[in-house]
Amino acid sequence: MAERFAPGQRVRVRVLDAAGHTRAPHYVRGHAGTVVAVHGHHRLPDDVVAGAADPRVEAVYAVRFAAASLWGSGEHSVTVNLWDSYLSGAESSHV
Amino acid sequence: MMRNPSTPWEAHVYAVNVALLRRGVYALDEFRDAIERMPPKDYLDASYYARWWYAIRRLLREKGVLDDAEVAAGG
Repeated sequence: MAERFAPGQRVRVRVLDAAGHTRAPHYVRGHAGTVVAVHGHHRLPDDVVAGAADPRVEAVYAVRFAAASLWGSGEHSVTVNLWDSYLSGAESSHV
Repeated sequence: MMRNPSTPWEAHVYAVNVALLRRGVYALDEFRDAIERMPPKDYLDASYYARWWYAIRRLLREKGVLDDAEVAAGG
């Protein structure tokens, strides 16, 4: 199964309005980060919890965000594991 | 982030959850979802492992493993 993104690529998190459980935290929605690793393919939690007979299996990416871009300050970064469908697409490489 | 159990009761809740996950009674995603479905006031009043205990009992009832009387008897 091919992945849409590779380490080093900039990606943006979709502004989701999940009806139920999701693993896309509010604090990264709409924000851009950098893929730092691909963690293989896993069942989409949103589908698992909804009781889907055949939950989607998607690539999971570790995406790193500058804390300052999420909260306005901070020198550190935050890395979040995000399923493919949480991501809208590639961003241009410059920040 | 998971917190390590610090009392025998917390360790018991932890062990029950691991046993049920490994036996496939429910999935980890369902467990997280059950905690998120806790009424907000109860959630804020509950300790970390009290939330786990709530989710375990709720899932066992929803999955038909236990009935209401059995859940109530288990505290």
